[in-house]
Amino acid sequence: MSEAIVITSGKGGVGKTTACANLGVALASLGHRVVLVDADIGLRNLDVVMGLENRIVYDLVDVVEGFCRLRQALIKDKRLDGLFLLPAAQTKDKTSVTPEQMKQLVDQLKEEHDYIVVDCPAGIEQGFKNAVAGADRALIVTTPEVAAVRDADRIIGLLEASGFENPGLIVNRIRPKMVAKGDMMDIPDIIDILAIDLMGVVPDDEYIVVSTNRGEPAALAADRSKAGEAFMNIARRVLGEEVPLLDLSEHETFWQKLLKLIKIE
Amino acid sequence: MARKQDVIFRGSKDGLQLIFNDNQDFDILKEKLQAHLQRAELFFQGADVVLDIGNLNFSIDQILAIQNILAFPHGLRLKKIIHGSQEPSENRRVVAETAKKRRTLEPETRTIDYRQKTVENWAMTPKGPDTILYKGTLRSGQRITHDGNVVVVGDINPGAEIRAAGDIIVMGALRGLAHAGAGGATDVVIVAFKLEPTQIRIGDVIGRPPEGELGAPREPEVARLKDGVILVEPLDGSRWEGER
Ligand SMILES: Nc1ncnc2c1ncn2[C@@H]1O[C@H](COP(=O)(O)OP(=O)(O)OP(=O)(O)O)[C@@H](O)[C@H]1O
Ligand SMILES: [Mg+2]
Repeated sequence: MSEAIVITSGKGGVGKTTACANLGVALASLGHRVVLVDADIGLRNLDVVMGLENRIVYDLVDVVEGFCRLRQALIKDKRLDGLFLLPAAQTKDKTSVTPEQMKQLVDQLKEEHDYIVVDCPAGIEQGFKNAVAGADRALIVTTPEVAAVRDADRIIGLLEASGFENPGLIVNRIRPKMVAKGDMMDIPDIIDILAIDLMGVVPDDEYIVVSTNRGEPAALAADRSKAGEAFMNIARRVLGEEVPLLDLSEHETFWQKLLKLIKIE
Repeated sequence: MARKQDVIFRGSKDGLQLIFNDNQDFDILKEKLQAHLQRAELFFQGADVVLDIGNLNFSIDQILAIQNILAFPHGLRLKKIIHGSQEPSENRRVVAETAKKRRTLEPETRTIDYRQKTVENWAMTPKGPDTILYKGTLRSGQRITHDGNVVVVGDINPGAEIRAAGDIIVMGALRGLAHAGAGGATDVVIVAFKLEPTQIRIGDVIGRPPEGELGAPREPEVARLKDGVILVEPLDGSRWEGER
C-alpha cells in the first residue's frame, strides 16, 4: 500500500524543500521505494538540493502535457536504490498544471512506489492546490517564529477543510539555547496553538547549509549531524515507529554533564 | 547558413584584389567572373589585379583563361597570384594544441526523443530570421526557443535554457542548458566563452560535465557531436570553419 505525503508550510523559506529531500533520502535508506515530486513549478529547487540538476531531461510539465512518459522523466538517484526525483519545470508557471492532473500523476506513481513525497511551493494559491491534490497525508513545516506558526495554522485550516485528517508537524531550525533563555518559541507553545501531532524537531544546523550546497542531503550521512539524525527519526515516525524526540542539547558533552553533576561549572 | 561568395573584388594598396572561393569549381568561377565584370565594366577599367586563389590549384591554362577574361574587354592586368593565404603554419600549431585539451561530456543514458517535443514547440514559435541575437543575461526560468541559430551576448545562468534548431553562440558564460540541433540536426555546434553548462544537448544526444569536474577553462570552447559523443575543445575559428 503506497502513500503520498505533501510537505507544506504556507510561509516561504521555512525548510519544506530541505525536509522533502531528507525525508526522501531517509525513507529510501530504510528500504522503501520513494519518488520525490517537485511541485514548485517555476521555482524548482529540489533537484539542486538533491544534487540532480544536471540530470534533468524531462520534467513534470512534460509528463502532464504528454511530451514524454512518466518513467522517462524520473531521475534515478545513484546513491540510494529505489530513490527517484520527478523534477519541476523551471520555464513554466504553476498554471501549466491542474490539481486533477497532479492527482492523476501521483496516483500513477503510487502504482510502483511506496512513498511519494511532494515538495509544495509557499503560498496558498494554485501551486499549493496542485501539490496537495494527490496527497494522502500532509506534513506541515514551521520554524519557531510567530509569523511562520500563524501561516502554518492557516494551512492546517485549509487542509482540514479539504478533508485531510491528522496533518503532522515538523518544527525546523530550533535553537535549544535560545529556547532555554526564553528567546524562542518552545515546542509546547507551538503545539498548543496548532494542536496537531508532532512528527519531529530539527535543530538549526550549519551542516544543512553545507549539505544543501553540495547537493547531498544531511540524511545521507545521518550520523554526521543532529539535523540528519532528526530527519531519520521523522522518517521512522512516518513509518509508524515510536521514536523518542532527539536530545538537542548538543553543546553539553559527557564531561560537561559530569561537571554539572558535581557542581564545578 | 551563409555561403561564401564565389567571386569577390576588393580594393587594396596593390590595386584590385580578386578573391576566389576555394570550394568552387573552376568553370563556375570563370562564369561568375565574367558576369561580375559585365555588371561593373566602367568601374574596373585598366586596373591592376592581385588574384587570391586560396587553396585552389590552377593549371597554367586556367590562369591564362582568367588573364584573358580580365584583359578583354576591360583591360585589367593580372599582376600577381596569391596562393593559400590562410597562413597554415600558425594554424597547425593551434590544432596540435587543441587535440590535447579536448574533453568529452558524460553522456546521459536515459532515452530521449527530443524531436517529438521540439516540433510542438516550433509550432508555437513564429517563423523568424535565421539567426536571432539576444543581449543580456538569461536568468533562471527564462528560455529562448528559436527555429534557427541563436547568439547571446551575455550569460546563460543555471536554470535558463536555449533551444535552437541551428547553432548556439554564447558570448559569455554558459551555465544553464543549451540544446543545439533541437529539430534533429547533428552538424551544429555550441560555442561559449566559458562553457560550464548544467547540461548541453546536440541533436538527440545529451551530455553533462563529469561529476566533480573543475571549472571550465578560461577560454572559448566549442562543443560538437563526434561519433555520438559530445566533444568539447578550445575554439579555433579557422579550424571550425574548415571542418564544416
Ligand atoms: N535545520 C536547518 N538548519 C539550517 N538551515 C536550514 C535548516 N532548514 C533549512 N535551512 C535553510 O533555510 C533555507 C530555506 O530552506 P528551504 O529551501 O528548504 O525552504 P522552503 O520552505 O523550501 O523555501 P521555499 O518556500 O522558498 O520553497 C535554505 O537555505 C536551507 O539551507
Ligand atoms: Mg522550497
